[in-house]
Parts: sequence; structure tokens; C-alpha cells
Amino acid sequence: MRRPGDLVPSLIEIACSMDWMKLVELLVTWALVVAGWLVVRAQAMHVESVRLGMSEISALRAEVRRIEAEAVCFHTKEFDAVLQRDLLGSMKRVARDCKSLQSCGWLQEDWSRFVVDFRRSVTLSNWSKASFVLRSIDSEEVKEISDSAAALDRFLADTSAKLLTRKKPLWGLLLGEIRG
Amino acid sequence: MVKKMSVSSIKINIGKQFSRFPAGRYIADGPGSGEQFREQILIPALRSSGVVEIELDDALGYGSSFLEEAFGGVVRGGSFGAKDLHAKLCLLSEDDSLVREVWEYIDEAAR
Repeated sequence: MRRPGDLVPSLIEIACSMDWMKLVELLVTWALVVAGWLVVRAQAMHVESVRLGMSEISALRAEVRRIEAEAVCFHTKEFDAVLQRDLLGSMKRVARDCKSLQSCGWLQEDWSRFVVDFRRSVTLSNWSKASFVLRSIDSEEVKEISDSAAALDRFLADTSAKLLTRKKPLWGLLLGEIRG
Repeated sequence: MVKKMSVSSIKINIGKQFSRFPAGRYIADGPGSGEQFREQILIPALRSSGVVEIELDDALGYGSSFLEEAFGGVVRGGSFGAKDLHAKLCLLSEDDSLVREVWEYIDEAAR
């Protein structure tokens, strides 16, 4: 017995009464409802993923700026072995973070050129204690560090901007959602 | 110091078998320098084996001066040419930038 508020007949009821037209109608309606829900959900997840990617890139840019400041400090002050070790560890983390952004699909272009240039500018010359010479703030070495850090920062900023404008096609969203 | 993989292959893990903190260009710069690695480990391995696999990931990090002296120095010193190294050397690392940088030093030294 159907209750007064129960306006939509159940699938089983219709199947039993063999009202095929109504059954098809109902199936199509439900398929559209489910597809719509999947698209909205996938779109929300895509937006969330972009937001997360931008936040990771932003953190990496801040880290690059921190390393730049420390590198300038290293070359313009007395030799500091602890700072040297810290810089090497930080450089390694930058490369690891770029790789991680790449594997998440947030970084799609070749980042290694920028990381190599940055590491080179900091650690290729004036890096050993035996040959360490204090550099002035306006020296060529310090300028090179700033330039390579700025190039890496620009690359990351461009990547972040591209991430914001990147659109995922509807079928891609649906397929991704169905695949889980 | 080096681990023999087969008759013609040797694997060297820099972080585990040489130094966790490889730094400096010349032996005079202290332990763990590029020159020390090149002379004591890399060149003997290249001479004794067909293929040398270098595992780069276990070190805390690399200064470019170490990499340039260790790998570029092999070509500059005339022990092996860049072509030989491309045939014999296999660099293993999760960090693509590190591998790229080493090959750049090898190729730059050949110019």
C-alpha cells in the first residue's frame, strides 16, 4: 500500500507491473541524477586539487626565497659549516618537492633546468672552506644567486597561474570519478 | 668500498660507501671531496668494470663543486672521454636535476 507522500513508484513496483515505459523513464531520470552528482563532485574535487597545488607551489616559492637569503648570507659572512649543510639539505628538498608536484600533475613542465641553475649559483664556486672568500653583497656571485632564485620563482609562479586556468573536460571529470 | 654486481658491472652508493656529506672540490678541502671520490673510487671502478652504476640518493645533498670535480674532472684529466662515460656510467637518482647536472659537467668538460 502506498503512503500519501510516496509519489514516486518504486523500481520494483514498476518492474512487477511491467510498465516498461515508466521503467525506462525512471532509469533515465536516475542515470541523469547520478551523472549530475558525479560531475558536481568531480568538479569540486578538481577545484580542491587546484587549490592544494597552488598552496604547495606557494610554500615552495617561500622556501626558494628563504634559501636565497641563506645562500647570500653564507657567501657574504664568515664560513659557516652548519649553514652549508643546511643549504645542501634545503636544495635537496626543493628538488624533491618539484618531483612531488610533478607526480601529482601540478608541475607539467621541465623544472630540473631551474633547480640545476639555482644549485650551481649557490654551490659551484666559493663553496669549500679552504678556498672560501668573503663576497660583497653586490658581487657577481651574489647577483647570480638572486638571478637564478628569481628565475625559479618565476617558473613556479607561472606554473601556479597555469594551474588556475587549467580546465578539465567534462568527460575527463566523469571518467576520473567513475574510475575512482 | 665498491660493490661488484657482476663481471662487468659495479654499483657505487656515494652516501653509503663514500660519504653521507660529500663536499668540497679538492682533497685539500677536507674529507669527502670530489677529487677524492674521483681518484679513489670512480676512476678505479671505471677502469675495472664495463658499467659503473652510481647511486646518488643516500647522501644528504651535493654541492655543485663536488659534482663538477668528481665527474667533469674525469674528462678534464683525460682518464676517460665523455663518450666513454656515456657508455659506461649509469647514474641512479630520484632527483632528475642531479642526474642532469652531472651529465652537464661531463659534457662541458669535453668541450
